[in-house]
Amino acid sequence: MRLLLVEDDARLADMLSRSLREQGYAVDIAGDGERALYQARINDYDGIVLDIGLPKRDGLDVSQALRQEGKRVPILMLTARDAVRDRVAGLDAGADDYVTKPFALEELHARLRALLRRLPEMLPPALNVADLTVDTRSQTVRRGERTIPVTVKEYGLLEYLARNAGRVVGRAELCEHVWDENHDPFSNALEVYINRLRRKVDDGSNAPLIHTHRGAGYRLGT
Amino acid sequence: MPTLGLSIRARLALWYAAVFAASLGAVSIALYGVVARRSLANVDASLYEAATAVATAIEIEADGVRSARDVAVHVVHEFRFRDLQVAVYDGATETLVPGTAPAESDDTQAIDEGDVDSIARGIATHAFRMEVPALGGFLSSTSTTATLSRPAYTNLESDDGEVRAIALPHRIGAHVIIIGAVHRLHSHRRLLAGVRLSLGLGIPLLLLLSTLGGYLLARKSLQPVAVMTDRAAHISATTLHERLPVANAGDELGRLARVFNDLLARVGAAFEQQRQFIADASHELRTPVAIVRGEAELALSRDERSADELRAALRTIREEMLALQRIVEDLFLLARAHAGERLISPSEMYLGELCAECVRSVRSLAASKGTTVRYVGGDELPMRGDEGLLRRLLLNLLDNAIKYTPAGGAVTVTARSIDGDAGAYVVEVADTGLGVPAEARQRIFDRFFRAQRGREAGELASGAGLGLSIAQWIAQAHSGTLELIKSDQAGSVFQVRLPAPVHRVVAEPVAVEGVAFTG
Repeated sequence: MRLLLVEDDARLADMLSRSLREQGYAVDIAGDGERALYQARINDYDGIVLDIGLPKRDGLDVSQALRQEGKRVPILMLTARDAVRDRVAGLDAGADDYVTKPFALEELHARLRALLRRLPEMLPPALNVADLTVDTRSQTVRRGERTIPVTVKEYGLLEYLARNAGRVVGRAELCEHVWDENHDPFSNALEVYINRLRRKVDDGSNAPLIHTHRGAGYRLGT
Repeated sequence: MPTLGLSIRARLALWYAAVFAASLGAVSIALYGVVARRSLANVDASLYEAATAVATAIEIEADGVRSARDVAVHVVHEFRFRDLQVAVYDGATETLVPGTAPAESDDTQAIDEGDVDSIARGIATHAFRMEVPALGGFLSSTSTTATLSRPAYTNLESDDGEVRAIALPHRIGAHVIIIGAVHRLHSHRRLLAGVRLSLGLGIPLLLLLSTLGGYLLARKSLQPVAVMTDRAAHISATTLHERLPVANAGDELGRLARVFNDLLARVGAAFEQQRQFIADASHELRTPVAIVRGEAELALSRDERSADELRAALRTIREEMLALQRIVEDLFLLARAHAGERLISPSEMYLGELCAECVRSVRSLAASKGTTVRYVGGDELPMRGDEGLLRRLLLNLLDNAIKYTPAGGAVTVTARSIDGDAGAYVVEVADTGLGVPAEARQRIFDRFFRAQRGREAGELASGAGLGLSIAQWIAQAHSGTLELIKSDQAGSVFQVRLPAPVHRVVAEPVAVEGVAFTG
């Protein structure tokens, strides 16, 4: 899942991006409102973590602009002001949820998970494809009774496929949602990760779940 | 005036009643006196009229044949007066001719001549049935003192109560007779009793009415006070926007309400300012706290962290804690300055030396940004001031200048003494930065105001947009000023003016002692 983190405080942005990447997200960072709008327009993010106090255009402004453009991307607002009217202003500007600074990282992660479950339709916290279970809370993968150890990036890839189980997901889409803007689209990283996942998930099983549709993409399912 | 725990309207009513009672009493006494005098004067007038009539009659009747006494007897007997009795006293023979009974009385009875006592008794036999024992004495005593033009009057006792008596001397030839008359004082007394009764009943009634009226009037005019009291009692910190009703803007209570409302407005503004300060302060504290907390939670979220990762986390935490510490210190300083606490401890110092020292201390920081800093001015400029605070002022200005000056720029500090009538030191911090946007110039000294938000500003910021606010407070605490005197694309110049000692030899402590804290 690829996120846009909009935060003007460099240290906070750095800390948050590290923690989100550890959660398996691909994270792009924008330091001001205009940059955030630009990024959100050219990339298809799965979620936006948006600080309210920003230079150039503030978070409320950015959120409103995105909603007016018809973007339905989930927005989690970060606010340092916790007066009721500030929270109301944030939600009215189009945010789906908010977290007040200072916050527990765990809470931020949980709220993000909750937001991302909602699209495109309500998904359970644990995604099941046949006997494969991808638990978004603990970021663990099990097949039957067997726990499959995966790296953060492998998990991110598998989770995105599981969210779209049964559908052929294109290569470009996968790159866009699993890697951040620093990813080189011409590298073969995707193929490498798919092969590793296939070994971990399908080896020793007589019913493979990861299917390659040549020229189209990949599909997770029976 | 003791209040006795009474309400203002009760006291007003009581005072009103007391003053009204006193004036009513005075008027009544005067009125009673006038009525009594006028009434007695009327009695006296009728006595005088009767006596002169008798005198005239005696003169007319006098024929030289009858003795004066006979004439007098005749006249006195002829006369009929209502409520009156007349008598004539012959000074020569010292005999009294008593008068007759009033007209309605028909038992005219011959009155024997005789001594004064018996004659006096004789009067009593008339219909009047008045016995005036002292009349003879009064008339005889009057014969020597009274003159023709001036009759004597007196009150005498009779068996029928007090009577008014007149003694009018009258000369008939060589003969002087005293014509006397008595008048009953019944009607006079009745009149006075009537007046007393009316006053006795009327005054308390009037008093009662006026007290009641006074109370109602006081209550009505104090009604707005009750309303204001009620409203004021309900105004609390959360309802400071409420105002008292101004019933009548022109009168005293209206003015009171207006003054009170103005006070409320000022309190409300101060309260709002304080609220805003707290909101801003907590806002500024939240981001560093969020970073510290997040950094720690992130480090703890996995068991296997490399030593480098943990060290990096601790480094970030320490830096954020330092930033937090600066903000907290700034907030404390401002809060205490705001509370009017005396914070400066002045000592003898050299302003030039301080400038040079501050410039040296920021040189490496500036160099890391590719900016040069230099000081132009002498080492001297002796003054009395709080060296720590003035250093803070200069460092805040320098931080600010370096922060907003792009690489390759220069920051120049100058210090000089200008000779005016008071004498002052001027320190200027000039940079080649971007300048302060026109719309921000009014607000740069406001607490928590930052002309530019953003990462590039965050690293050098002494805190939370408090630097210039604190610098200005320090200048003011030294009876000086801090102003932005120039700002355009070529750069900005901040100017500090500090009072120089009048006599250069010994700095006057007064120059700093009389500081007004306006933080």
